[in-house]
Amino acid sequence: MSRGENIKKIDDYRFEIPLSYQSEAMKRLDLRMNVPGLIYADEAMMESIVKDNSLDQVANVATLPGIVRYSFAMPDIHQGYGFAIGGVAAFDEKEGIISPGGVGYDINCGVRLLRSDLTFDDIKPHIEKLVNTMFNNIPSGVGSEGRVRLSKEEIDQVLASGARWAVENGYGWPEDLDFIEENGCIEGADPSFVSNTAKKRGAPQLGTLGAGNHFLEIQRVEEIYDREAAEAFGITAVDQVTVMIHTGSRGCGHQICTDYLDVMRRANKKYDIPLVDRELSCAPGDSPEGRQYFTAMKCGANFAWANRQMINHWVRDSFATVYKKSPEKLGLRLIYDIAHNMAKLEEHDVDGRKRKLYVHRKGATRAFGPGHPDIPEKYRAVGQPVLIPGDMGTASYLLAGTQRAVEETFGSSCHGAGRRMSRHASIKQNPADKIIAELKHKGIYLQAKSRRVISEEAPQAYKDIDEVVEISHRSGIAKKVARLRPVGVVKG
Amino acid sequence: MKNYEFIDHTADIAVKAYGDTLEEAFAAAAEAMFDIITAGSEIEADKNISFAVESIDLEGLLVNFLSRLIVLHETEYLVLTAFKVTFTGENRLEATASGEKYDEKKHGRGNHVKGVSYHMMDICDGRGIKPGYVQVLFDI
Repeated sequence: MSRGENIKKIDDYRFEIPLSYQSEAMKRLDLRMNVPGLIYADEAMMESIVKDNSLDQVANVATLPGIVRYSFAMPDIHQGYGFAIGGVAAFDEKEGIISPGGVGYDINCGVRLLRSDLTFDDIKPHIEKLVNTMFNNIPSGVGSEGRVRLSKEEIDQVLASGARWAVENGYGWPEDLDFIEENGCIEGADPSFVSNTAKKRGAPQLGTLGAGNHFLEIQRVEEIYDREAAEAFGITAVDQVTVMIHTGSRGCGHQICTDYLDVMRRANKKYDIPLVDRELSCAPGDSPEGRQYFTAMKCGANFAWANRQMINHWVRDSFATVYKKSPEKLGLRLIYDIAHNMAKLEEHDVDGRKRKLYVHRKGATRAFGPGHPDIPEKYRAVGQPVLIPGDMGTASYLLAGTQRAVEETFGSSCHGAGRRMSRHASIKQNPADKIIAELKHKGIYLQAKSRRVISEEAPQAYKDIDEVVEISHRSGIAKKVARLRPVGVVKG
Repeated sequence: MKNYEFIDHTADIAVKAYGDTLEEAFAAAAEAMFDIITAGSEIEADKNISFAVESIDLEGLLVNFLSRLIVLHETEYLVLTAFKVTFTGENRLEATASGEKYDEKKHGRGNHVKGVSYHMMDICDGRGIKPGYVQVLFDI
């Protein structure tokens, strides 16, 4: 039986994996789904979704204890490890589990978007200089070291206070903190539960971009779909210039994940949780191991917010250098900063009752709707900004969270477009010179640390971001606000 | 003659590593990982290192072994080769290797390995093309 045959179409953008579905791994262990799966996609996208292991992975997650409502798949769902990427799963605080695999290695990989008073005409003569200045100011790439030297006490402060530490140490503006998810610091982050190894890996990498699909991007607003929301966010006209930053918690987060995957594998045996996939290793949220992972994860998240805050500061510096004007005068204000690899303890309405849930979003973004108290007051009438980074030749998007998302997906939506081509294949098919020329033809200036990363990150290697965003919009879990086109890109 | 080969994977990089023993296969997987990190550059054997790891099972042992190497790479800026692995008990091993400090000019710019995954992992002792065989995926 083909995987697709079991799936039930709910409407044009919702497909259900019924409780009767069993992956091979589930059959071997005689496990059943505790809740159905729900995939946000259209018919065309479903045809490619059934081709990889995503459906099995969505079903496997549904076997975990304490899962509530559905095992979700966002429109950008694709095969991951344990949890699919683009997966959302919420577990009861007392009866459910917490899983590092449901967050990912790059804890709080996320995106930040700045607006400016500049137009494309203003920056056109300066794009190369802006990109080169950012490239020089912000360390990136494999083996790169940060610009700051931190003592052991300081790294603990970074882990405990996140972006707040950064602002207190002169990176950025105090008001930036109002426009970051969790105000740039999740409370209750205890650095004593982070290994020395993770701190040793993290310290020299604070304030660095990383490599792979991380980037800095200067963009121009190409289209505005929702004028009211755009203006509330600070986007007022087509051709307005924005800057996007995409990076995460670097070696610190990676090591926290590695450390706790090991802890969780042992905990799985201890708590007798049947494990359909090693990467789904977990512990009860209410257990010592669960609580320790959660607090360590918060530290990793805070590291990433400090990281993005520092990079934000150097981006502003770069613009100030080129324009010989302060970033304030250039209007380089932060629109928002979101995480797309995270677990949060959130209160949600479940069948008329308020419940606290560990909401895991792996390659998925929080998307709270209008009126939600956790979003900045300035945005409360229109909803939370949702930032969706695209590949370097196509586009990125600014969306807004919706009430429908809050009601259906615990306030979650997509995060970007996944890869559709292996690095190896991309290197063969997309030589660096060809990509540079293609980007140049589109008016995009690129600075990258290596020719290899240009080939690997070629636009052709990625799925269609427009499709992913369109389905999110039409299904109602996020609302299109603006389309942003790259004009200058920095890759590590 | 390399004792490993890369498997095409959409998002990350997977490796098949071989040896006359499972220990040799573990060592070959480590060579493969530094091949990824240095884009296949030559690594000179200047310094020697050694360490021990343990875990709850063989899969965990492989992950912990390779993860320790990532730590050495990122905290002591080492690139390593000439791995020798010895199993010292149930799910325990000792490893030695030689290498040098990472030098951008010498060791190029390969891929950044974030971690070692259990996904697609296969460990065979006594089956397969050669007696020792592991398959492991690296999160890039």
